[in-house]
Amino acid sequence: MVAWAVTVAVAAWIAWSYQGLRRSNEQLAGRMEALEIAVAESRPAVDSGRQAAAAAAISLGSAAARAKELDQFRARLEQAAAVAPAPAVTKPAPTPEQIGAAGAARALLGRSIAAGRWTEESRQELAGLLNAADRDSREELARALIGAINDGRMSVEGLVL
Amino acid sequence: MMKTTALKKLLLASLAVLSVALPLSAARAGQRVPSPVSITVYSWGTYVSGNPGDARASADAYQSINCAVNTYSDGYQQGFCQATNKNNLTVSCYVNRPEMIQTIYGIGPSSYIAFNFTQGSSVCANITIENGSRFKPVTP
Repeated sequence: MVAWAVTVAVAAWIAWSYQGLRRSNEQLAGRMEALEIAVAESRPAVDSGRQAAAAAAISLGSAAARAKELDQFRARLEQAAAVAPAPAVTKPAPTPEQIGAAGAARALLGRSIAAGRWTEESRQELAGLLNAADRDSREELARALIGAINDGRMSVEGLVL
Repeated sequence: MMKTTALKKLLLASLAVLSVALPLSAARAGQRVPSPVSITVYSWGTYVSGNPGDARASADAYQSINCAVNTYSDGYQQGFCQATNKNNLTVSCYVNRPEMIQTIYGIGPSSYIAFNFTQGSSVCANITIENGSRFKPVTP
């Protein structure tokens, strides 16, 4: 009698346990299915993230490459600027009056150097001629006059220019 | 007693000397830098300096130091400096850079002027002007 009761109890316990295990299994299966759905749904986002990261890496790489290219281009420009001649400055050609005044000033300076004297009268005459001459001639004549004074070829009796 | 009299005499004599010397030294107060015209030739070029006041007050009839600016009718400006020393040696240089011409405009009645140029060049390499109390003002 006792053995029968024990057997029935064990059988009942086994049946109850089986039912419990089955329910757990079903719940787990349901959760697994939900997880799979969630993973499937999140895949596009993950893919998109991966693509963005790859794009960022490409972008960084190309930025570095562009910076390098810019440096090389700048270096080439500097080299070219160093070698290239300065842009030509166009000066107007001297007028016949300017040429005449400069010629007269050269003649005056020549006479004065020959005489070995630079007088106040010479200076005043030169002032008028230099005003009528072009700028280049003024420079040339100032150089020649002062050169002759500094070399001792002319004594100076007043102002130089 | 004799000693006291001698000391009094010494004290009086000292006071007398001080009373004469102190006003004289006070009249000479202040730094003065005589700067006659100097023309020095170096290996690199010529250095010229001087103070117009000292040049004008010099005993010889030659010394002078001047700078001037010519402005032509087209607006072009050319400046120059020239100096003659006591041996009647004259040197000069010219400038056309606006900055250096501005320096020439800074010359006043008690300026110290210095300029230099490299050997064989007529162009001023440098013009220095000092205005201050150290130099003699130009007087009639």
